[in-house]
Amino acid sequence: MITIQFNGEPHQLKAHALPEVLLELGAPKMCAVAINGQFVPKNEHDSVILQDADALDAFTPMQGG
Amino acid sequence: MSWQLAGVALNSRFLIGSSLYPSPHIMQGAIAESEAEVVTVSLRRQSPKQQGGDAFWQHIQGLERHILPNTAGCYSAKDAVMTANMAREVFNTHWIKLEVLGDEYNLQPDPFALLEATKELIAQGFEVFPYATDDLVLAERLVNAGCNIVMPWGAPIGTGRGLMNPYALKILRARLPDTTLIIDAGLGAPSHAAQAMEFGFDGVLLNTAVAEANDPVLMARAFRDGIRAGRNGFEAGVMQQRDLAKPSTPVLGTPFWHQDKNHRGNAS
Repeated sequence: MITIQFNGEPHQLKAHALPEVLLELGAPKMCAVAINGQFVPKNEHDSVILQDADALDAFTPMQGG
Repeated sequence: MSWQLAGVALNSRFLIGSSLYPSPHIMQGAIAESEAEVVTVSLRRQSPKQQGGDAFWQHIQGLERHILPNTAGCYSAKDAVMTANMAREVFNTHWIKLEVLGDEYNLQPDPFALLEATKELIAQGFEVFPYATDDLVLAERLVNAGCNIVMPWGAPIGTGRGLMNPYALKILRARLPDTTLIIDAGLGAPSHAAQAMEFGFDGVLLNTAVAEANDPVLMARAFRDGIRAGRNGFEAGVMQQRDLAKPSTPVLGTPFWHQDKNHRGNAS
């Protein structure tokens, strides 16, 4: 198990690989992902393994002016 | 009459925001009534347990408009560039409304960071819609950096003050005749939008004035009509102002032609 911050809240996870982590967290399909403040494009997701204490953020469409 | 925005043919010169509406239903109604073909959206961090993002996106998708994502809330070129890249992936568009703010009090763009981010994003293949002040030199630098579009403010975001500096805006229009210029932010009344269009601006982007009206759907229509009226006025050619009155009714054959010259009233 690892503990990460997901959108600012702590989460314990079984998965370590980013695609499985996003599934485990129930992240929306339509989102952009940043790890420790760095954008991770979709075509790189498969190669990313999360570490304990990483900060993962998912950004989704929202109202904007 | 259609026009080109970043290579896309549009009929409307109204670009509208998707924020601050009392409800998604009213947002949809206002956007539909506006007849705007470009809608601005943003990206925000959201808990996966809240499905608001998906629901919002479904409302927007249903409108079948061109999407213009923004980088609202960014205070550095680095953050804005990253947000733009995330938006490109999520919304599948290379259009970006680039906001890099420099002051929290009036949400004034940071011209230096804006230019830095613009150069980087253009190098990455984005069509940058930079939210700028009405500063001529900044606008020229943005154009020189490769911007086809510049979006000067009318006034700070959400203030509804209208065109604070008509002189600067007219100079921008005159000095950048080949650049698409869109007034972005600060408009409060449909007459403000009409004035911008009479100056020859190519379009108007606004949000708060519609979304926070008592009746957003009706206000969307009012801005739509104001923008059309202003554009028609610009294309028709607004008359030059004069210092002296000039009768519009012919003077020749006035019924009281014989009255004392010193007491003669002029025709209207």
